Amino acid sequence: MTDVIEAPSTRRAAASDGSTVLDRIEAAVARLHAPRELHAGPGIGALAVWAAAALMTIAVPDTSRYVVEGTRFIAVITVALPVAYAATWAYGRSGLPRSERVLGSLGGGTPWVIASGAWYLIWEWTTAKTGALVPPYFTPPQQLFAELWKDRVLLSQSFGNSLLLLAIGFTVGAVAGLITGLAMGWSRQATYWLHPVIQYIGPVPALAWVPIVFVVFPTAYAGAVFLIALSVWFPVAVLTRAGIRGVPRSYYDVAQTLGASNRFLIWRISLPAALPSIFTGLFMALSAAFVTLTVAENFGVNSGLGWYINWKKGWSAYPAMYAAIILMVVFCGGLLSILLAVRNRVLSWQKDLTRW
Amino acid sequence: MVNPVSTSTSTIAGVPIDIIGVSQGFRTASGAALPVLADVHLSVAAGEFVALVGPSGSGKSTLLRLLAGLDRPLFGDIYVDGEEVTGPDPRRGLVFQDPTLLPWRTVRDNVALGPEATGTLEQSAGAIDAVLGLVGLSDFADALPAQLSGGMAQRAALARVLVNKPRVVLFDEPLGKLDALTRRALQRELRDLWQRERFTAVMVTHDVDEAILLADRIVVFTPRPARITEIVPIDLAHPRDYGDPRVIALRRHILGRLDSE
Repeated sequence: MTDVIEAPSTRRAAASDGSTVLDRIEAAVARLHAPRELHAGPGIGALAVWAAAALMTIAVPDTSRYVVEGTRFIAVITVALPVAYAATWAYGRSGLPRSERVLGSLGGGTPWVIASGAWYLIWEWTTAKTGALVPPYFTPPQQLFAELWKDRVLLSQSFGNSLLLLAIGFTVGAVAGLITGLAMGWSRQATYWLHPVIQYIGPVPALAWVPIVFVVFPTAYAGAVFLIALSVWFPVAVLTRAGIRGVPRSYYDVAQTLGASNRFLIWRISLPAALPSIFTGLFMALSAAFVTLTVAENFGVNSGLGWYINWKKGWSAYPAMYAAIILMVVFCGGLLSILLAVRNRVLSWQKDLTRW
Repeated sequence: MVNPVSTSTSTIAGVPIDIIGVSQGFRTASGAALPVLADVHLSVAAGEFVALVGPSGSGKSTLLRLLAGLDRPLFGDIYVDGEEVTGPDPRRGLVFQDPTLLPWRTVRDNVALGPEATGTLEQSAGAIDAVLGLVGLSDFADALPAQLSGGMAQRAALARVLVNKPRVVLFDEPLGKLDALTRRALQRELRDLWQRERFTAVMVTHDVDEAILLADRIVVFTPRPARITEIVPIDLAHPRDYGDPRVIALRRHILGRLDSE
């Protein structure tokens, strides 16, 4: 039947320049998916901003209104940055392997390069160079690096202590939350006993438990672990249960007709199906854990980044405090990024991943 | 597409089914009792293809769930190969209207679900490849379900059942959600598959043409609570043609029967 009526050939639809419809579709698709390229305007703009930053840092003398250390260090950075940028740009235009990708990511990052350069210019000018902003509440950018370097031993110890305490508390809380959530998702009995407890204990902020916890627990450290675990346990348990309750019954029907045992249903059906919800719980838990960590460090544990920040504030050592806050930003943001990366890897089967 | 397999066996793999006086009911949201199946008697021969048709909501799917062993009847007994059905069994495969593939597993891993659940994964690698070839999905073994079309997903669901070498395959409107062209293609594939594998097939469908095309007998149900009102034998050789006057007469008869209920 199909032989009788001849389908219109794509060759016959060839345009005057000899390209067929298929050629033109291919070219259009390639255009749509071409990597972002770096235009000359933004590229030169980025170089100009950072060249100005380098020039100002080196040529303009520091004011005496501020304690300014580390100018030489930051001068090296402000020179190295535009040089590295120019080198990357040159490589991107060279046509060497992967140069197209390099150029694409450079083009994507250029607005941030320009914005951060402008931010640095204003910051450096109003503090280190003119002192227009009033000390001691403001600090020149190079002073932050200087403070980090001067107190590097205590700061790295604090960083390590915070990381260890968070890791222990988070792990204990996440495992407990997962078990509680699984139990509640699977057993009526577990829901009967655990749900009221979760509903009333879970939402209480960690700060409210501080007076009891540090009396009841043998050491402040054990108390801090408990507090962090408690704040992690609640969201993980609730969202694990919700995730398991949301698994379509047909998944279980299918698996059962294929010969699956209850064990198989829990570990191979329930748990993977509930993972998107569990990861949402873990994200909420991580944010809650940061809050509790900072609280716990200041009430009893007396070490870690949160404690360091408050300690420096007590001495009105603002530059050191700011430096520690920046370290805290790296700490929290870094851990969140790691959790994100793990989730994107584990849930790569999900078509529309929410990217934060 | 179903590939011709040279080692085709015409020996009947299917086993007989006996449904004896089965009744089933539920409780509605308002608390009233809802009778769904009323005293259903039906025997299916080994290797036979039986289609169940009836008004929607009449309890055909309920009967299928009972046959699968997912639910137990209030009254009556179901025997498969002389053994009473007391729970699900991989030798009784169930294909749903939705493919219900696990979205986090590749096509191959979805097909491997049965062997994995019964702890026979290692010796089943060859069988998994074979059924993927049988349903024409060899090239999509590593694809995720989200990347499949509706027809391909339903083929994967079929492969997942076939890998367990089922004696009985229960179909719950397996082609109900597919477009008309894909449905026609899959009807032919299903027929070829059944003729080659010779399992016992029980299929719930709303498509009378589909039932006539595939089944040895068509069981017509009344509205809820479902009783069997008529069993229509289809004594036509395969392949059957929609334009055959006998097919048209059968269609008219069955549709008339359904309309009069």
